[in-house]
Amino acid sequence: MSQSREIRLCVPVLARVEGEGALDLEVHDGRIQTLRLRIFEPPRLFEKFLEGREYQEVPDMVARICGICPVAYQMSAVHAIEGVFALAPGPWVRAMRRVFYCGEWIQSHSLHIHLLAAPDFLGYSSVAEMARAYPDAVRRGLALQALGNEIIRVFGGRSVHPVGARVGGFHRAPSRAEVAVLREQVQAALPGAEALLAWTASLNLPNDAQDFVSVALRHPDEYPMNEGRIVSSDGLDIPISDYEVHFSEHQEPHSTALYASLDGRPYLVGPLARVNLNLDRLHAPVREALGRSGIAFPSRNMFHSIVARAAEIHHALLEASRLLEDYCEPEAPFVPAIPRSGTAYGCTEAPRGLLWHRYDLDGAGQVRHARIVPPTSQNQARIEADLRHSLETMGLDRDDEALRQRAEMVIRNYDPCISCATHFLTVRVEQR
Amino acid sequence: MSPVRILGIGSPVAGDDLGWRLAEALERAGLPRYFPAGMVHITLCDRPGSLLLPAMRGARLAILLDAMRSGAPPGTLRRLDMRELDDSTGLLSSHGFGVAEAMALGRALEELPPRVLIYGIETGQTPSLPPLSDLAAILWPAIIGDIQASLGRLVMPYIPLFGGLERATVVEPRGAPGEHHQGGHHPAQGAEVQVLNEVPEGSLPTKFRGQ
Repeated sequence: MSQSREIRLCVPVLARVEGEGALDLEVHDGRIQTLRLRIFEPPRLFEKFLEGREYQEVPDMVARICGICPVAYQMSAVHAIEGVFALAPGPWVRAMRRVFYCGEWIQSHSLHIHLLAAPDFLGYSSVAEMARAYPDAVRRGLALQALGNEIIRVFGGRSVHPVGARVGGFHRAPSRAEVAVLREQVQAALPGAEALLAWTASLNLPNDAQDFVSVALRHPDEYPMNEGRIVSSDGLDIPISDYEVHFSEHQEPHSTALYASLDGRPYLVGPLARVNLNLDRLHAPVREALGRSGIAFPSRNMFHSIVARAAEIHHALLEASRLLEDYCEPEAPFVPAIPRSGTAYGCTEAPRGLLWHRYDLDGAGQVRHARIVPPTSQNQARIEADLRHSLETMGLDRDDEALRQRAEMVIRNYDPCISCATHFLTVRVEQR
Repeated sequence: MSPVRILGIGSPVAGDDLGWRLAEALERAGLPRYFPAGMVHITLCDRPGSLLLPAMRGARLAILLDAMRSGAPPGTLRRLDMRELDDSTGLLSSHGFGVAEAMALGRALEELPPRVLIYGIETGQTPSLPPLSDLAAILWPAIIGDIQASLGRLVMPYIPLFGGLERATVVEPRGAPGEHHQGGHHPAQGAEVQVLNEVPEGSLPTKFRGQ
């Protein structure tokens, strides 16, 4: 006897939909036979668009891949190209790029924690509902998000798809007066960030330990953002240029996003993986706050990602404050580039995890070939593995609505960004 | 802080910048100068999401201009009073925190201006969009009327410089709202929608009439 149930969520009337996803779930004799996270957003072909383009165009083009993490795309690109050109932009550029990146982490993580994830853990269907019961928490989150955007604007000219970054540095250096105001805002936000970390740790997070491999960058003496080696919780430790030796992508018929694997296995990138692998690189006040949270890191509970995000907001504010102290305007905000041919590798830590770029450049600095591996592509197989585990643990005899809610919660917890697709789930459950 | 904020909402994507272009046209034509200095401020917002709330904070009237795709002919204007929308008209998408969600959040936090209006401008390729100056000329009296109604004051007569209306101003609307534009809106069920398809008689400065 076959019983087929179907749940349809209504498509929103006014939301800015950036893509669509669906989940197919087939259960036989109480066991999952098929579980597919289907991404049917059309391919965006950015890698092809880059072919034949001048190296100067690359940072502005790749920024358009994502409205939430454009800085990450710009940073992976400029580091790659500078690597081929043997260009060393110097300490001012290095420090200010890090501040720029802090802004993106702060705004992206604040958005995800408050607008997307927290309602799941507090039992609300949206942040608007949650805001009636938790107005101060939501206001604090919105203020942090706005501050992250402001940091991006100061260095990038605007907060969405910033245009300030270039190969060799920045087009413009902020004035001392601008930076003084910004640093005051950053410092004023620190108590709120510390309180946010404690607040996320106090949420009623499901207790669900899983077996997974964490992958992140690791730097000799700082929390990873722009530089480092790729390491894993399984002992991998490689230069970024060896990524393709160990990591591969493949296509599944049901998804327009590629699946990445590490030596054939799913793996995790993102805030929880970063904290798990770089706990000792966090600023001391953040480590102490995590210690007080009662949650032990490294953690195998994927739902601790929200706490990791809050820890990274706290860290990013401390880091930005440190780097902006005694700020001086440089003689020039960039170092001129002399093109060379070669294969360029760039890997930085986007808010959602490892963002790996490779460019083949000719002698004039034109892109012959580009490859971009975004974080969510790397997490896609892990999300499916998590869904399988989480739904089986919860009980497949639960009604469709309960299964759908848990599935959405699991997916949202990764802050997926494959064309931002996985929020409008049409879940088809087939029970036999 | 200006009591009236006119916010062009959009993105650089072709067609989704219509709200920006109209806001710029109104600014260029001098709409803020029609009122006492500091009363009306025009801003362009790039997919502001929740940051729409600080952009409206402290205002008595906020007017949003945004591209719309509802199946109506390009250039059709629709006016929505956001008080008519309820919280169920939109769901969150992971990064698609749009105007409806920002309004719902603003209501929950009691941070919305007393009056928020949105003008949806139908975008699209066929038939071609009327000239921006025509659309701005239709918006001009409507927005001035909104401001007068909200603030009850009007001083300093000012003749805007949009140029003439060489073409039919706006095509007739047709059909029910359908698919909405990636960066725009379409009217929600239950919301009161006013379609502007002609210039109200006597409301337009002489400069506009049939020239």
